[in-house]
Amino acid sequence: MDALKELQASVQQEAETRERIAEYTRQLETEFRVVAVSLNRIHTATTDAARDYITKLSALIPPAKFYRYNSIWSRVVQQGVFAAALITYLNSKTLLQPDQVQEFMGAPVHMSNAPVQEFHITVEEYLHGIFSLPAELARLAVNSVTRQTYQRPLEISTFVTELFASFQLLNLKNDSLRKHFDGIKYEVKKIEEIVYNISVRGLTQS
Amino acid sequence: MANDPAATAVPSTLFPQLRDLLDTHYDRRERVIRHSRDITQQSKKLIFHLLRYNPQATDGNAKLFAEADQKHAQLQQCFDKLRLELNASNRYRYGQTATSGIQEYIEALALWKFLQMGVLVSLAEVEARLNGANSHAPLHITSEDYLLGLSDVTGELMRHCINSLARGNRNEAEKICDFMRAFYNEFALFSRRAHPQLSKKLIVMEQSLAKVENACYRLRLQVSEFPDNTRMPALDFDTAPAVSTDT
Repeated sequence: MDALKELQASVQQEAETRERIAEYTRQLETEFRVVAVSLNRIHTATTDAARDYITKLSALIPPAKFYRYNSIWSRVVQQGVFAAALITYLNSKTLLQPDQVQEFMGAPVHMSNAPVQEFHITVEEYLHGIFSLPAELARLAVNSVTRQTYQRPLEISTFVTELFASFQLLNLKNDSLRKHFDGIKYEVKKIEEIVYNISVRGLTQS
Repeated sequence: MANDPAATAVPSTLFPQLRDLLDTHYDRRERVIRHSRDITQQSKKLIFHLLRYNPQATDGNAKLFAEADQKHAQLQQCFDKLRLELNASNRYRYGQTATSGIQEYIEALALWKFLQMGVLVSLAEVEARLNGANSHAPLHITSEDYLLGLSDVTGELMRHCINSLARGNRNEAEKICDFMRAFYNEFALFSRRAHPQLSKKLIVMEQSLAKVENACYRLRLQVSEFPDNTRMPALDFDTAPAVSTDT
């Protein structure tokens, strides 16, 4: 009977372990749900609610007077494009394309200099939005190192380097786009330093 | 997890396309700036020309206005070029770039109209004059352009008023003073929230009006000392030479 007693103890222990696992799983589920909700919020906020307001705006504005009022919402739209660009990068590690913008914002990018026929996102707004990407990705690279995901800064570096090279194809005049662009090189440098720091410590070969 | 090196995150055709779009836009803006500057310069010349107006001219300044018409024809040519750039939605896209020239032109027209008729030029008249024969696709003037352009005319009227006083023309000076006061009263009613630049212009206008009112006040005092008006005394303005109707 001693053998059974031993077994009882171990069964009891196993049950307790199961219970503990179940408990942790529940907590993890809660945590994941929070993560999922906040991720969802990124998606829905830029699609549904924002699109509603874009629709309301476009109903208010006759196309011929688009540029009369454009400056009022321009900054917000730039932020929206930026959020869409960040989501796109996190999903697919690619740059948000102008033709993908409609899906997020409910209005297309006006890829022409022809007179406006409908409410749209201007090329400048699109560019401002994606010009904000390197700064956020630099921040993500810093925090990735803190969380010990050393591969991510390398990916970010590849992406931002390519992006920056593409930006340099533009002939920017001395305006707000130019100012925004001029700030990007510091973000590129920051990301390069992060890559250097984790490389010299041998953290990239994991 | 690493990126597939063959796949690029940024399509190679995108940024050249964006560059071309921006270049076209910048080129157009550059042209609008040039036209606007041309219009400003020619409007200034027109204003200086109009300020040579003499209220006592025997021919009613017919020659002066005829020359002004010639200068105006040149201005219309500039507007023909500007009109092409500001079609449809581009009117507002480049409107801020063009506004300084348009405002200067409105200022010139307002001065002209006042000298000729003694009244304020209307928005419809401004549009009719600058578009001339081009009525099929007229360039529209915004209320902002119109108001800001008009507000500058008080400075010119002040100059004209002091000139008139210097020439000893009291009636013209008082006519200007009355006109400016009425104009200022109307102008102050506009919401400054709609056009933030208005408040700045209003301050300048106030100063011009004060100068004119003071000048008329001094004139009245001096006239009261010489009620027979046989001798017009010299005014103590630096700019005013002692002009008098000799007896």
